[in-house]
Amino acid sequence: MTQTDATATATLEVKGLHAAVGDREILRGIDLTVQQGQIHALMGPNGSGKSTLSNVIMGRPGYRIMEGSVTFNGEDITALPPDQRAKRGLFLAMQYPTEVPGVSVVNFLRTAYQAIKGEQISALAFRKHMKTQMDRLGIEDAMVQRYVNQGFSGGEKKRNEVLQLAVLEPTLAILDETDSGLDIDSLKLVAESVNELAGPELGVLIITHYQRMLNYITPGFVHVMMQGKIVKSGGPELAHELEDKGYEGVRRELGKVHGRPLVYLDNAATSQKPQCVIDGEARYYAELNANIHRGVHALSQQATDAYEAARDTVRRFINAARREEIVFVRGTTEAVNLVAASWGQRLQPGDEILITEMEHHSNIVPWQLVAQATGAKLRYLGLTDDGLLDLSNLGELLGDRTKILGVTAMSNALGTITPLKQLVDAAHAVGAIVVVDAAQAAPHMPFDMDGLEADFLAFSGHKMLGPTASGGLLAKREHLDRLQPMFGGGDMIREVFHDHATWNDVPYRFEAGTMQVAQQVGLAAACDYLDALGMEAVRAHEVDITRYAIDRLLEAGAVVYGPKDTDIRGGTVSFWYHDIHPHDLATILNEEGIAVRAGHHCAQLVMRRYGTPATVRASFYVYNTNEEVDLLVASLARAGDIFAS
Amino acid sequence: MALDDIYKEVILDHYKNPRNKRDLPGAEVSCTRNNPLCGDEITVFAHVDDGTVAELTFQGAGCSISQSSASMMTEAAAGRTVDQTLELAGQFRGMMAGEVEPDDDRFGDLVALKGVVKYPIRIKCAVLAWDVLQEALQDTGEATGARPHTVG
Repeated sequence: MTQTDATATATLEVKGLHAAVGDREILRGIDLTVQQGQIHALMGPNGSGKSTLSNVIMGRPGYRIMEGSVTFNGEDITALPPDQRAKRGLFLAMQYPTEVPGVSVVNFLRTAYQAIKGEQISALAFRKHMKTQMDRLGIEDAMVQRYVNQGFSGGEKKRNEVLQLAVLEPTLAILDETDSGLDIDSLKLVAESVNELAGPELGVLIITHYQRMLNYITPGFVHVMMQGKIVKSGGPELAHELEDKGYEGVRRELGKVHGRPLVYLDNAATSQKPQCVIDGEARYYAELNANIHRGVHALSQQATDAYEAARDTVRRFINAARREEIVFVRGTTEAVNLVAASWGQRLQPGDEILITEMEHHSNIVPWQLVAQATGAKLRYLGLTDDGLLDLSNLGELLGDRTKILGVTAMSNALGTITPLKQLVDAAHAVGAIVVVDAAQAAPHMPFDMDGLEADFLAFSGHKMLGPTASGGLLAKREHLDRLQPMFGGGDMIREVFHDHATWNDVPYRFEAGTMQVAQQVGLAAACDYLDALGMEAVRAHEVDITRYAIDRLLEAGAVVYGPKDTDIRGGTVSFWYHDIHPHDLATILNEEGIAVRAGHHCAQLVMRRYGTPATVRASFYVYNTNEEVDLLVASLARAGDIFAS
Repeated sequence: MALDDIYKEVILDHYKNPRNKRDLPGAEVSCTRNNPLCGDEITVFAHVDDGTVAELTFQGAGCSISQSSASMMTEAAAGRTVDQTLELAGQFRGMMAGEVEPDDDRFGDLVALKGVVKYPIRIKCAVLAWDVLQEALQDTGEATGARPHTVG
């Protein structure tokens, strides 16, 4: 049956594999061994590199192996052309099977069979072999008389791939997204066929985005791939765990708003909340509600414990060095204002504050107030035509006079991810402190406060699945020690005299009055939820959907603002569609059940820079799907029809 | 066809084929205002002759609501006295505040904008042209009417 030594078990071994398309590294260290007789499932979101791995294993041109090896039965196959790999017993069922007009399935298969087996087979003998396989798979004669894939339905194409697998008798088959584009009946048929063929003679590697195919095929091994690496391997239970916690699970929970399906693409404004966050906040009120700190009674202590535990959770989530470096505030705006009002007091005429034209108004206006009050000068880093920070004159703008650099980590209007580390280092080199607006970045990508070494960092809980009025200011301990409190009263006080008062320790000295306790407890639930998904995975998902959205929007003729490269942008996509005014377009999209934002997005300097008063902004999060992007694009076309003159 | 659809058609008709959208050489009054929130901009020009708005034109750019409202306004207001025009402006504001039931005869196509009340954020767009007209006419010193309704 096989082309290899019949006594040995065919083994595909991938070791330390790094591979790139062009300059872009897609596979970042893959180790995987698949043996004849085993069924492996490789799961992960779109864009994680699954299909790249299959293409590299099969030797598709255009992929460059940078490091590592791929061996089959001990032989290095990386230099072999695809047909040689096939002859050795490897097989790939393609995600998008190609049409071959003029060549019938039966002729195609006979030619392939002869090439792979290296022997001639009579038409009659081949027909018999094929008929056996068709009967196993329940494939009708009519299908194999047709030209390969021409006019085939999605289901027929995939069944044809499985028929090839049966007829060509490889020892190891890779099924690349064989379940994609199939309705449930076709999916069952294909899955049953794979089950029929699986056995001691065949090793199978199923690559899939969804859990659903694994409802019908039980793999012995499941691997989860994210951002070019296998991040988790386990038994069949892993697939179900993913179903419970993975994107589909998130989607099921959050894809509806108030029980009604809605395409919610306004996540840069605020995100939806998972049930655990709503429950976390509600449970606080139901079971723990008492004012925190200073309470002698037990309930007050329990409430305090929950609030302080939330601080620990946030510390872990953003990787701050110490818990006292987290000041709870209502959100980014309050955090920036706290720094501006307090730290800003020490500025003098001649000092300079450097911010960027990319900032949200909340990271502009507080600094204007400081400049007006102190006589300090406010300067701006500009933007390039591509939507990036223009760093060409950074050396000019950032100097000895600069005391504060205020910069966003991710633009709320353009999606641009800024080169934070570079800016932090440059600012520190001239003795300036750095205030980072992480309102858009913290919800969407892994954040390492300690590694970044920014002096202050502000974020909002409500944009990262948490409650409104939750959020924090993160700061280096030594800065907080030197920072004047903004509000007086409540737990920020140690002792009060007639003419003065002394302050509590940090961070409490900045938490005046009764705090938003329930909300910060809810925020901790949101952090745990995101941690369970994995922020690497959250980012990878958004890279996928953003790339898809930008491609589809450009294809539809939209003008997309900001960088197109998903390596340097997040999932906030601002655009114009034809000449339809953003407010008109957003109104029509609303009628189609799609929530997007239209306007200047509190970033009027950005709008002015690109010569538009407003844009439509679609912004994605963990629960959004490519199908929703399709709905958006389809609705754009309808809006286009309405406004066509 | 639902009433909403008819309204939509009227708005789009004025947006795509604006009436009286041109400069008015020798206009006694003119005024320009914009809405920085969405960038809508309207300039109104009027010949005011003996207390009557003899001719009314506009120029502008922006969304369908702001531009169609301006177009409809030029049709509805032309030929009225300044006082009548200001009264109409007040009624239009009242309609956009959901307080005045429009009188079809006086309002004409303007009725179509009634549906905008559903979208409070866009009421400003509908009212912009009227703000500009009101300000322009008050500059003439011939106005006696106050602004009975304010919106937004």
